[in-house]
Amino acid sequence: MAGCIKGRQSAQKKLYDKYSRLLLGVCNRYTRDIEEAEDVLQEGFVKIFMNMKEFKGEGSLLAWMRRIMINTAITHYHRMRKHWYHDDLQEISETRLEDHSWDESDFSSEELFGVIHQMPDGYRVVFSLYAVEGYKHREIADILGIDENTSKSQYSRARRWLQQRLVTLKQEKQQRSEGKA
Amino acid sequence: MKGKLNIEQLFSTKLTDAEIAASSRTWSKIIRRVRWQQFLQFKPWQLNIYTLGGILIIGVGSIFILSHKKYQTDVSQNENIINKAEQESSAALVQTGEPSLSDMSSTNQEVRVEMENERSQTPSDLEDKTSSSLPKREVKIKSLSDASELDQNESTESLPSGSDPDLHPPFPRFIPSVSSGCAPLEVSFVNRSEYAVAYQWLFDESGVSTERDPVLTLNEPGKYTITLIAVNEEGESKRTQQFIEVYPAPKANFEIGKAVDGLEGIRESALLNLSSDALAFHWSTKGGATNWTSAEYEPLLRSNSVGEEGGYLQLVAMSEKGCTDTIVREIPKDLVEVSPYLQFPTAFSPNETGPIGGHYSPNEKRIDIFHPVFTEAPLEYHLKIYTRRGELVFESDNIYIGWDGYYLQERSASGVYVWMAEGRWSGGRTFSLRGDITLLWNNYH
Repeated sequence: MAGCIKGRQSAQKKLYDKYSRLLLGVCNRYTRDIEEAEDVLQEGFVKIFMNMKEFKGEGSLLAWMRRIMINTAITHYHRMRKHWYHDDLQEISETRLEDHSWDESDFSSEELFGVIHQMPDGYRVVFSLYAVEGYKHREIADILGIDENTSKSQYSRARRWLQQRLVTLKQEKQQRSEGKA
Repeated sequence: MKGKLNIEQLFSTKLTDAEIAASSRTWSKIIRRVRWQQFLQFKPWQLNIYTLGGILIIGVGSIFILSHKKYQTDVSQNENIINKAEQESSAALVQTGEPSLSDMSSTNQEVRVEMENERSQTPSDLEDKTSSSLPKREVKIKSLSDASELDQNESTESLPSGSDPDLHPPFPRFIPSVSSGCAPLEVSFVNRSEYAVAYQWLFDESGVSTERDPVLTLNEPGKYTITLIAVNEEGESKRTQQFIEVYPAPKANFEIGKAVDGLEGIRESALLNLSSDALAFHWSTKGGATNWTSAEYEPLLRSNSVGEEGGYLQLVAMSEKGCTDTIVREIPKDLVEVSPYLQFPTAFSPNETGPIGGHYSPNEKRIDIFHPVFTEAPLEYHLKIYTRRGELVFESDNIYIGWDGYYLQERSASGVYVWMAEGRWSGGRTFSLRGDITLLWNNYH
C-alpha cells in the first residue's frame, strides 16, 4: 500500500495481481463484452495508481477500488452511449410475467455475464448498480444524471427483460441436456 | 423446480465476487499509461530511474542540437559582424575623425570582461569588439556558444541556468474558438503562449496533443477541463486551464402511424414522437403542395394538410440549451391516397306538389331529394330510411335514386327520420353508415 503511493512498480504489480480478477468481474457487469471490460479495467487501474494518495484509508481499499471501477465504467457508458443510441429505444413486451425464482445452480456466472452483456445498455447499468452493487434509486439517479423515476422504471423494465431472458435460457439448457440424453 | 432466489439475489450471489482473469497484455498497458502520466506530472518525489533516464536523454540531446545550431549561426554572424565593423569603423574615422574618449574606454572595459569569459581569442574577434559599439546581445550569444562548444563534453552544468536574462519562464496562454456549445462540439485552440518551445495539451478524458494549435471534437456532453502545459528551452514548464462546456444534443426521431379514415374522407396518421433530450418541437411538411406546421408534441397529420403529392415531414427537436436536431421522413403513400367516401345531408325539403320519384343526376345536389354526395359510385349500395318508431318508409339499391319525402304517394310527416346505408366500394372495402335526417315541408313556397 505505501509502496503503491510512492509509485513503486513492484508494489503496484502486487496490487494488480491480487485484485484485477475481482475488479474485472465488476467492470464486466457494465459493458457489452469482455474486451470493453478490460478497457475499463485499464483506465480504472491507471486512476487507482495515480490517485493512491487520495485514498484516506476510510473503509476498505477494495471498496475504494471497486467504486473507482464503477465510476470509470459509468463514464465509459456515457461516452459510448452516443454510438449505441438505438438500443435504448428497444421495445419490451408489456406482458406480465409470473414471478420466477431461481436456484443458485441454475446458471453459471459465465452465463449470467453473457445475459448481462446482451442487455440493452441503459438497463444493464441501472440493473447492475441496483441489484448487484446495492445502490439506491436516488443514488443511481445522481450518478447517471437521470430522474429517480426513470431509474425505477428502467429498472423494472430491465428486470422484466432479464426474467424473460432467463426463462428462455433455462428452457434452452433443458432442451440441450434432454437432447444429449 | 422451484428455486429459492429472486432475480436480485441470483445476480448478487453469483456475480458480486465473480473473478475473471484479464488478458496478459493488460498489465503492461496499465503501467505504461501510469508511467506516462507520472512523467507528465513531474513530481520530484515520484522520480525514478525511468523518468531520470528520460530527462537525461532529452536534456543531453537538446543541448547537443542547440549548441550545434548556435555554432552554425555563430559562424555566419561572425562574418557579418566583421564586415559591419569594418564599415562602421571606417565611416567613423572619416566622419568624426576621432571617437570620443569616454565611448572608447567604456567599450574597452566591456570587452575586457567578455574576454575573461572566453577561452580563445581570434584576431578578428578582438578587432570587431575594439572597433565598434556592437549590440551587447550579439556578443553575449557568441561568447556563450563558444563556451558551450568548447565544454561540450562537460555536459549540462556549463550551461548557466537562470543566468541568462533572455530565458524567461514559459507563459502558457490559449484562446478556444468557443467556450460552450452543442455536442458534437468542434473547438480549435489558438496558442498564444510565450517563451515556449514545446506544448502538451490535456483534454480531460478526450486525449492529449502536442500540436501547437490543436483542433478537438468533443462528442460527449459535459464540462471539460482543457490544460495547456508550455515548456521553454530549459525544460521549465507552466500550465494553464480553461473550461469548455458541451451541452447534450437532442435526438429528433419520430414515426408516422398507419393512416386511418377520419371525418369527411380525410385520412389521418398519428405521429409518434420518439425524440429525446428535447423540450420544443417544430413539425413542418416539405416538398409538397401545402405548408403545414405544428409545434405540438404529437400532432395529427391529416391528408388535407399534406396534399396529393405527399412529400416529406420534418421534425426539429430543440433542447433546453437551444441545441437542435433535425430529422426528415417521407410521408407514406397511404396517407395521401384518396379513399372513396359517401356523405349524407342532415335535412331536406321535399317537393310540395307531389312525389317526383327521387331520381337525380351525378354531380347534382338536390334540396328536395334526400341523397348522398360521394367521390365515386360504390359497387354495392343499399339505403333504408325508418321513422322514429321503426317503420320502413324508403328503400333503394340505386345510389342515383334518393327519397323524395313521400311514402305510398302520401306526404311523410315533418320530423326526424333514421337512415342506414351499407355497401361495398370497388376496392373491396365495405361501408356501413347511419344517421338521422330532418324532413321539413317548405310552407313558405
